[in-house]
Amino acid sequence: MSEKMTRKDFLSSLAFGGATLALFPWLSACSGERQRETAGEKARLGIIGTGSRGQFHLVNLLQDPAAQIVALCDDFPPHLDAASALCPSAKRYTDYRKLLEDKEVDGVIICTPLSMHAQMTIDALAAGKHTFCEKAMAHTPEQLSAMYRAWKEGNRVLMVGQQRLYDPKYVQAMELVHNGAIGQVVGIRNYWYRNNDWRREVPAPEFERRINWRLYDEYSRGLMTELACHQLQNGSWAMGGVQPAFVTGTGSIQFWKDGREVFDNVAAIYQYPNGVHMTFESIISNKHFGMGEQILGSEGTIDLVRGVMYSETPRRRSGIRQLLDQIEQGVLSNAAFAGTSWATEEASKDAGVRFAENVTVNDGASSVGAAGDGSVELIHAFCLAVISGVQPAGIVEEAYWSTLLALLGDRATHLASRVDIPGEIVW
Amino acid sequence: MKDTLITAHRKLVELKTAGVCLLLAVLVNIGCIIYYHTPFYEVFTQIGYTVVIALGFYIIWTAIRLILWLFRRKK
Repeated sequence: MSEKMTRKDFLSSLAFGGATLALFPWLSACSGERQRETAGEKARLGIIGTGSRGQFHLVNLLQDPAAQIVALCDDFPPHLDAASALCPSAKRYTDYRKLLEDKEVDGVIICTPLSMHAQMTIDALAAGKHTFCEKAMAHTPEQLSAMYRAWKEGNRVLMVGQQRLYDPKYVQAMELVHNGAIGQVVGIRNYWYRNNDWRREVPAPEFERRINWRLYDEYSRGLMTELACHQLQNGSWAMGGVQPAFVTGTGSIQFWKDGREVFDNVAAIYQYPNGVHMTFESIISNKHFGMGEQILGSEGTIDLVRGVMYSETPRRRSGIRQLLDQIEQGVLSNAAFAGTSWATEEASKDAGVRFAENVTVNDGASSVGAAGDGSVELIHAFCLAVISGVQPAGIVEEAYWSTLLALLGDRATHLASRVDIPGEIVW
Repeated sequence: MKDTLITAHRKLVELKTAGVCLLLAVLVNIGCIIYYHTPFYEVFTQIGYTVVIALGFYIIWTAIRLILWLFRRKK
C-alpha cells in the first residue's frame, strides 16, 4: 500500500517511482523542481469562452500566483460581462482571432463548445500561443488528427482539460494496479448517472442552441464527449497504455424528449486485445448510483472515485461474528421475498482499505467542475508550462486517445454495432 | 414507597446465574473458534461479544424464571 499523501504534498514532492512516472510522465511538469525554476514568474493568459467553465478556470487562476489574466474573449455579452466583473483589468475581445494577435498574451485557455475546439486550437498554435483546450479535444476524428498534427508540427505547448491527469487518487490507484495489488486486471467498469435534463437557462429562444450546445449533434457528442471522455482514461492507465481493439454500444433518447439530438442514455463496451472489457454507461434520468469507476482485478477491486481498495479475500471475521452473521442470514433467507440462491450472490461486505486522503465524491449535479477534481492542479501545470515553454510529456497523447475512444464509442452507440479502433495515433 | 430487601441468598443466586451465563457465552465463543477455524486469541479479543451474549442468556433465563414464578403463584 502506498503512503497516504495530501494534495499539497502530491504537487510539491511527486515522490513516485520510475514506473509511475513512466505511466504518468506529465506529472514532472509541476514537480518541485519546475516550481522552483518558474518561481516569481507569471504566465500571461487569455481566456477564450467565458461561460461557466471559463469562469471556473478564471476564478482559480485569479488565485494562482503563476497566472496573470490579460485578456478575455466571448461573443455572448452576458458571459463576457460576468468574466470582466471578476477580472476588470483584462482586455475584452469578441473575436478570438483578435485576441490571438495580442502580443501580451503568452497562452490561451479555450473553453468554447466542443465543435469550436479544433479550429481555435489550430489557429492559436499557428499564432504562436501556448494553448490549453478544454476536453473533449475534438468533435470528429478528422478534427482530432488535424489538431494533433498542428501541435506536432509546431513548437508550442498544448494541454487538454482532462483533470484526472493531476488528481492524486488516480495516480495512487494506478500505482497499486501496476504494483500487482489487485492481481491481473480482468475488467474496468465506468458509470455516470444523473437525474437532470442537462439544460441551462436560456434568456431568449434564439440562444437555445448556443447555450445548450451539449444537447445538439452540430456542437457536441453528448454523454460520450462530455462524461465518458474522462472515465475512458482509466482503461488506458490500468492496461498500461494499451488501447482497446474495438467498441460496441447502444443509446437512445428515452426520457428527455425535449427536442435534444444527443442520447440521454448510452452504454458502450470496449474490448482490449487481451479480451478485457471496459464498460461505460450513463443515464441522466436516475442518479441513485451516482458516478463510479472501478478497476476489477483477480485479487481485488479498486474504487477510483472513493479512493478505496477491496480484496477478493478480505480478512476473515471472527468466529463469533461469523456465527452471528450466519444466524442473521438464516433469518433473512427464510423470508418470503428471497431464497438462499439470492443471498449467496450478494456483493462483498468488505469495508476495504482507503488509499487516498481528502477524497471528494462529486454527486454529478455540477457540469462545470467540482472541488478537488484535479482542475486546479491541471491549470497550474499549464501556467508553469507556459512560463517554461516545456511541453508536459504524454499529455496530448492522453487527450487524443480519450477523445478518440469517446468519439468512436459515440459512433458505435449510433450504429449499434462494432467500430474498430486504430492501434496507433493517426495524423 | 416500600423498602425492598435483597437477601444475601438472592444475591448469591444471581451472581452464580450471571457466572454460569458468562461461562456458557465463553464456551459458545470457543465453539465458534473451533468450528470456524479462527485464532484462539479471539477468546480475549471478542470479549465484548461474549459479554453481550452472556447478558442475552441472563435476560432469557430471567424471563423463564419469571414465567415459572408466575405459574407457581397461580397454583
